[in-house]
Amino acid sequence: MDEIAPTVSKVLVQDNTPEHLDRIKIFCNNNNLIGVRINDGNIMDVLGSKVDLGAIFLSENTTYSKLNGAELGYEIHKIRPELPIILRRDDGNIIDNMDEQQKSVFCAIYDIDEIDILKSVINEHIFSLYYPNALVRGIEELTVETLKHTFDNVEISVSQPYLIKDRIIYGQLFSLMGIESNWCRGYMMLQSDEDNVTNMVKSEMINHKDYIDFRSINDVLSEITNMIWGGIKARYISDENIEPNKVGTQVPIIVNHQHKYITFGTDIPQLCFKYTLIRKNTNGEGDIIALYQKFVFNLNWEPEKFNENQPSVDDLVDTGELEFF
Amino acid sequence: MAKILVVDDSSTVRNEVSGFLSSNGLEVITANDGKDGISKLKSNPDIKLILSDVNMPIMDGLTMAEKIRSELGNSSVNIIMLTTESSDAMKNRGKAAGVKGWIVKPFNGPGALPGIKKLVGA
Repeated sequence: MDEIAPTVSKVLVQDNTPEHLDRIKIFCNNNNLIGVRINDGNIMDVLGSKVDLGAIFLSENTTYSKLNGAELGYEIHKIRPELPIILRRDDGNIIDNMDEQQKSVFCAIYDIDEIDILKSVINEHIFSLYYPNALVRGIEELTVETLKHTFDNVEISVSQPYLIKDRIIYGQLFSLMGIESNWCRGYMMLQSDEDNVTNMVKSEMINHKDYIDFRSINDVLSEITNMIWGGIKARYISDENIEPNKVGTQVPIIVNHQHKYITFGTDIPQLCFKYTLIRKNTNGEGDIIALYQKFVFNLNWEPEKFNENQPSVDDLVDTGELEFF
Repeated sequence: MAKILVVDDSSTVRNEVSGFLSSNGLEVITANDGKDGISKLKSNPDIKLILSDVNMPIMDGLTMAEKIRSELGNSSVNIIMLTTESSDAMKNRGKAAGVKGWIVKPFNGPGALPGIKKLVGA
């Protein structure tokens, strides 16, 4: 098995003590966390935006709209119970007066001098699944190839793969595709904004310039999803039949449009990639698409059985070209 | 002019493939799924080639190919699959159904055109 893929996770940090912020920053840097510091007064705004989060770090004596850190944690938990909340002890006056039910809102309560105990906490709550490097790298490659084929004249950049506990859906467009194999069962999601995709389709897809409505934009996202899925199947899912005990189980998937929220019946983290597409030769002012790709293997995940298919030289046929039988 | 039937549930693919083939002197009609493809073939018996996706709603492309050979008794129309599927198992099923060729998406028109023209005698 190859080494663990360099996935990261974004965490919000609200802490007013500069020296403690430095310690938290070092901890984040050493543990594949991207700490995003938020200023007093805007944490709910940030939570309401499209930030894909892995966890939230609060401190006991922080204040937000007359709430202390613990009370703020309760409020956040009410609206985003899927997010792990970690609370730093200051003088203990608030924490020591919390009952067990109140403490259960927090996945960990720590002293700054013992911040390293949080390693096991984030491993349990965020980095709980192992993703083979070859899979992470391959997903990126296949997706970039598909996007290049779909849109002419665009530059594509990819964020470092990251893990989220968030269940918030980004944008207005959303595709969902099942992935089934003997070593994984779950879903791939693609999410984006309709207006930006529409503009890109108008300008960079030669066969879609005459008439475009939302159905044709849906169809573009559908075909992108289909091609990525096909690439994943070809590279990572072998021809062997899926074992009988690997099929059949399903759980309801709930989409709440009011809250732009989706759940697959599990709290395991999602593996995410963000692709940014920008039209070339526009001095940075061209249409930009942010495409979020998320994987959730909620039904089965056995990465120790993962194997990359290695086609023989005789089998190699370039995609798009005709192979006669 | 040789007539080709393009079968795909994606309008994006139908537009891309039919636009390319039409611009290269071929007559193209389209269908949305395998059942629609069989219907179009029945009403257009002069179709020389079917270029079909595999994974489609209502009826998939390989089932369509099998029905064309068995239920319609049409052994003359050429069938090529244009699909994201690339497994040997799928290809073997296609061969058993009389499929003549296989193209893995995305479609590369210039690369596939000589073979397509050869099959339709254009």
